[in-house]
Amino acid sequence: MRCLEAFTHLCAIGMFDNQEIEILTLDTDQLNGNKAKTENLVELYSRIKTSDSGPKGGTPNSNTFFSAKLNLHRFWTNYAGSARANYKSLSKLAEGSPEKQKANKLVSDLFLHENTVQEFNLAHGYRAQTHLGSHLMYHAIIDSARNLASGTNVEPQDQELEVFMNKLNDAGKLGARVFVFGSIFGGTGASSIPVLPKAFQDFIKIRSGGNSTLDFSKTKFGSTLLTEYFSFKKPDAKQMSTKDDSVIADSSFFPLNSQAALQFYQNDPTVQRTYKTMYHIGWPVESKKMGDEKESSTITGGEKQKNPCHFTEMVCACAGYDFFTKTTGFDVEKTEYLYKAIEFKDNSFNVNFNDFVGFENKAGETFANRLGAFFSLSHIVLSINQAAFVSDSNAGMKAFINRLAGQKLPQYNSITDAECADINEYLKQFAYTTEGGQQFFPGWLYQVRSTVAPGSFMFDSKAFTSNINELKSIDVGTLFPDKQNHWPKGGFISDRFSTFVETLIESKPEDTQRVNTTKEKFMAHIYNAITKSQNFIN
Amino acid sequence: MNTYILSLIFAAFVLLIAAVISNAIKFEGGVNPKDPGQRKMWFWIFAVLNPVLFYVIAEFVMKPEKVAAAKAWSASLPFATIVGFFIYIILGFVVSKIFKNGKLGNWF
Repeated sequence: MRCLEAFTHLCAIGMFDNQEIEILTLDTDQLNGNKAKTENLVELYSRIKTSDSGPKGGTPNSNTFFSAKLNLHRFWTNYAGSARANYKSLSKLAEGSPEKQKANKLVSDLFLHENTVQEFNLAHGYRAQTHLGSHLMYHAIIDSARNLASGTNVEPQDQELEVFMNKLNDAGKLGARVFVFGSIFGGTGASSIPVLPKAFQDFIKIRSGGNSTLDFSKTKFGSTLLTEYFSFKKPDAKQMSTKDDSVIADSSFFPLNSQAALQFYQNDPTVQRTYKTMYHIGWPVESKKMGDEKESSTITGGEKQKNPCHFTEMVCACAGYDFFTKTTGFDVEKTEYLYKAIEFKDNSFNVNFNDFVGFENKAGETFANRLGAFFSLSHIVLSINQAAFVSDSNAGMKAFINRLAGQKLPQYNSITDAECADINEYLKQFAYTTEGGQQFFPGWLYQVRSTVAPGSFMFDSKAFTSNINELKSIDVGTLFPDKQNHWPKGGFISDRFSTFVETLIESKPEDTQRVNTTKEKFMAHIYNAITKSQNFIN
Repeated sequence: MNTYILSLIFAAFVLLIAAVISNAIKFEGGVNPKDPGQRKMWFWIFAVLNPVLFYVIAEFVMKPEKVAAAKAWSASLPFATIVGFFIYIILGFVVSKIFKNGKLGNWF
């Protein structure tokens, strides 16, 4: 889910111009904190793009923030209630004739440990039992198709899945690309990656009564092969003493899981046939510890599971960018495995813009401009315009509107306080916020950067200050390490921010940006002013 | 020189100073930026200073020495001062509207 969070931020900075992207979240744990956080982020993104006069989620734009349109669909497996809580009850091993029960038990025992794997509570995911997960995830999707076909036991998540599948089926006729985010060392993601293309294909076959299918030569699948990059508190015997928690993922086995999974992905004929590209992403140094050591038990899922974001997740999102934008490499007969390396010197990483998206078609420059512009906007809104420090409705984005109105540019006055608050909230999640201007809370970009600190991370280290006094007086025009991209000073009686406001006043949205609503024009206006200040050619 | 012409030149000069000071005030961010108010304040400070300074300078520094000319000078000076005050405001208004999106736009 956190890869999707990173991907959403890439969309927010404007990396997916003119695109409408269908997002399907797939989880076993509907209450999972990371899932809720990511889904809320996508919904917030869509709300920012929505206006009274336009369609829900807005329209795709170009060369601006929030340029892609995102449509969120959610599917989760239903493991609520004692009849669906674990493999044994879900598979109805105790039903049918004695011969059938015996045969089912033999098959189950062959693959799944009887007292643990077959009996742990599935509500918090597959707990690194990938073989069980693949089996159950495939059948959850097939069950959904069957329920929809028969019109019985149809749940809201089945309907959401069907909307996604209908769009995939339609798009697949012309040529669609599907990118799957997930790790290969854990539970749900690792379980789902191998079976998803086949499950989607079978879903469409069932729903169309055999009249339609997913053609893998037209619908191209790509995925991440994300190996272990975090660890967490080892479960103790006391926690594992109950049947519900008889299996808990143990992060000390993650490297082994990753190794086994990589062997599988290299050899499995179904994977080779269904996936065009797989991006092998790993973390070459000691995995970061997640969670609080003081926690009495290992967090297996649920609302409490809200882990900080990691550099590798951002790389996964960039792999998605590569998959969606590349023009070659889709006519392969077997999966192509891609990887790249970044500099690791003197025990620290050194990351530049090209490391994320390459430099073909000036992608690295575009990425630098857009990420830099969004980061600058975050500092302006959160620190200079005080949205991170005070709860005043005139703080943050509203201060921009008030400034422009004060300079006799009233065209954005119709943007409401609530709409401004949404954008403020997004930027807080992207960069940082504080509690009453006292305690600092890092957002996504700060968290990602902390995983490669003290190495260099694209921007000047001063850009990532968490000192509130320093933030209040931050020189937002000097975030880039290259002076060429510093905002102009504007002479000895001016400063960079003041000169930026002058640029803001002179700027305006362009027709080529395909912005229609007031809010879209406003974001494009700010984007143009920052781009010009950063000395990137728009 | 005619007091009225002098008043016009003086008003334009004071307006220029007000414009320079207003442009030197940086744009600020934040919930309640003070820069528009400061520019407006300086405009009105000079609106008050303009007639006072003009009257003092014209009466005590530039007054002709010849009695007849001095009498005529003193007679027209109050009117020229009032005219200068309004010229400053009218010119300021026009300049503010010409540069309405810039810093001088904050005057009105």
